[in-house]
Amino acid sequence: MTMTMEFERIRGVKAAPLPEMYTSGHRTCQGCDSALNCRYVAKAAGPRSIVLGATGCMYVANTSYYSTPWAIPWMHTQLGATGSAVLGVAVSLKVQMRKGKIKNEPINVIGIGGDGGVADMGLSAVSATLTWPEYDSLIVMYDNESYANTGVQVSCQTPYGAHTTFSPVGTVKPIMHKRWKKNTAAMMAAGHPECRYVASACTAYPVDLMNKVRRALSISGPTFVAILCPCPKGWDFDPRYSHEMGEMACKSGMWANWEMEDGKLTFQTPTSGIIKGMVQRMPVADYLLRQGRFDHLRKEDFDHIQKQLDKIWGEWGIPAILPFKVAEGELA
Amino acid sequence: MAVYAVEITNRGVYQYNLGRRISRDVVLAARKMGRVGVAFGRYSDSPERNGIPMKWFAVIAENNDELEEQMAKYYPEVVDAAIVLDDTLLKGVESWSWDGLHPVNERVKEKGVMIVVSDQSHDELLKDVHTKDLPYKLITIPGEASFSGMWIIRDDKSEARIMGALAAALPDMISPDAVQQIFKDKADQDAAARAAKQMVTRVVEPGEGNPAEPYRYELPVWQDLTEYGIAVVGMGKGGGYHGGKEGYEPTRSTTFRKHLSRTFRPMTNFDACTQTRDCWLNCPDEAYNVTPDGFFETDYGACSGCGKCAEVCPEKIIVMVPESEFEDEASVYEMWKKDKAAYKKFFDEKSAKGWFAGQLVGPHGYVRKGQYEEEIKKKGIK
Ligand SMILES: Cc1ncc(C[n+]2csc(CCOP(=O)(O)OP(=O)(O)O)c2C)c(N)n1
Ligand code: SF4
Ligand SMILES: [Mg+2]
Repeated sequence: MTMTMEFERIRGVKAAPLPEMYTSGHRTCQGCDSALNCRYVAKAAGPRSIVLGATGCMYVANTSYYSTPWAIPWMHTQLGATGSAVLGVAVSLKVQMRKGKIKNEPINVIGIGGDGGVADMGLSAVSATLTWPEYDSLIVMYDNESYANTGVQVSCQTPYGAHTTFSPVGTVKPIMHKRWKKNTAAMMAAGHPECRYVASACTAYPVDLMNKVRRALSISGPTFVAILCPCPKGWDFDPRYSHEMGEMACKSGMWANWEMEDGKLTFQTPTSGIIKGMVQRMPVADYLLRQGRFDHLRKEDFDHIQKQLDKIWGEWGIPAILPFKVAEGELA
Repeated sequence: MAVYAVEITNRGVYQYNLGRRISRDVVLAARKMGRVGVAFGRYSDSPERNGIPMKWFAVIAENNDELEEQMAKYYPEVVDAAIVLDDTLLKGVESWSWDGLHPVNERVKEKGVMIVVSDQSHDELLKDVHTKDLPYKLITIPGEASFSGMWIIRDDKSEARIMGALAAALPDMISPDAVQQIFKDKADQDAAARAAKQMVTRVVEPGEGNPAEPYRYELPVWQDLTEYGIAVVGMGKGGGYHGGKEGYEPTRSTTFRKHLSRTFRPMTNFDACTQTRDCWLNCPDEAYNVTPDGFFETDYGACSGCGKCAEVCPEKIIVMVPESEFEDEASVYEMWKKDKAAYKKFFDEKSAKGWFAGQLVGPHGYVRKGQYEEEIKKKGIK
């Protein structure tokens, strides 16, 4: 009945479409890559799209007193409700098209939620949506590694050791946040057999990001894309460096760019180079030292993080994605 | 009855802690004089965002009854002193998109003071500050804008210096002695005393300053709400450059423009531009127009001055120039189109005061020259 949209692949920066479906009028920080992510997602998706936005910076900063940056329909949904809102709208469109109440045409249904909204609070609803193959939708998690809007609190996406208002630095206990970052995209890919497409991208690689959004929207059923968005306020760096920060996150192996389509996993730049052994991961301290939230780390902390990364890239069943392998002798 | 009010205007995040500390210091000093007071921010500024102007307040009274009467207001209608922590804020403040631009001296009462941290002359500053129909005093404390950072306060004594100047300007409100008492550290006490001597005062007569009418617009009010709420009209889809067929110009918000977040503005050296598009694609504020001849023109109404474009430009030909160098938001692309030689001269002149990609000059306060090298050494990492 309904069908998904077909897109042309964007080949390079010069082929990026000009029209902005998310434009000025957002009260975000200088150098906010979460806002830039909205711009890329909307640009890639085009005018026939509906966006559902969970509470977070990308709701609060984008709705300053009767202002909006969106040129496509956007509606707010509760912090934990991205999954439900997306599924509800996708079902509704399908039913209205079937009953002939609206024209039968492809319309992109996109949910945009933060790491707090998607990976913590709204996890169950997002997961549930990914089990409904008959409804076409895309859920985008913009991962700024904290509950940024409310003043930067720890989320399950906050990296080990980071200073947030929930993990203040003490003299006796310099590190309050000692949990390793959850791999939400991998969890979605591994746990939802009917979800045909899951990807991980970063705003520092916009063409890759936009192509992943387009791919996700062209595939039937629910899809999921996690996007790392450097946040100058929450990470405490000069906003002019948000592009560089994203690049360094990927090059140091703190973030990986990959794509899983119909059970096939591929890696994209710069992760692909690391996986193939063509480029070395940059030392993680170079990346961490550029951010105020890691200002309190000591040599042993940098060493610990580096060791963890070496394990993730060197020993995991699928590097950067799946921590386990089948034990020896278990398979015939 | 003696009631006093102080307002602090600062940049979101970078100066959040500094502004908050000053508002609290005012109350602490008042308490040393046997008065009561309260320090607070305002809801319409929260959550604060990097660079976006915001305010803190301190209200002082002789007793609790008087104070409570004052607290019934959302924030003070008039203030004895307005403190401005960054001279580029003098162009005005637009906190949320309420009703337009608010002059930074708007609430200063007759014969009140406005204290600005700046190395510029009073006359230079008054090109930005909007006119008022009351006389007031403009006080400058020499120095660059202090950006204390969100987590890591690297104290440069700005807090003590501002308190010292405030006490010297309005001793009836908070005495220099009370200010000395609230600082425990000798270096702070000295800084406060020194600022009282360093500050430069000038009376601003009615009508002096920037005569431009601050822009205003009407937005729906709560009476316009229906039982179904209200739908906000979406942005347009943009179109050709300046309404033409070629190039592209996005629709821009008229109710939240972001330009007042800016302490530096980007300027492109169009002669050297190879049209790679990186500035345009990486701009988080959709501030670039695509011109029919394939260049990228900054819309200074939409640009927040983050400096990303300067950093991502592979040719390194975008320079970030202090906002105080400019009186208007005219397009530099148009200037270049009209007269390339004149633009070259203008560009060279302005860029001598600005910074290019990779230059660690700390435009937003965080990065000091050599900071990473120092930290790497300190932590014994390499
Ligand atoms: C159920 C619920 N709990 C708490 C809040 C308060 N709140 C508003 S925004 C926000 C932060 C959301 O974080 P995230 O989803 O990571 O988005 P970000 O702010 O980082 O963009 C919180 C906790 C809320 N709105 N709803
Ligand atoms: S806090 Fe971070 S995500 Fe939120 S508006 Fe600022 S930079 Fe963007
Ligand atoms: Mg977040």
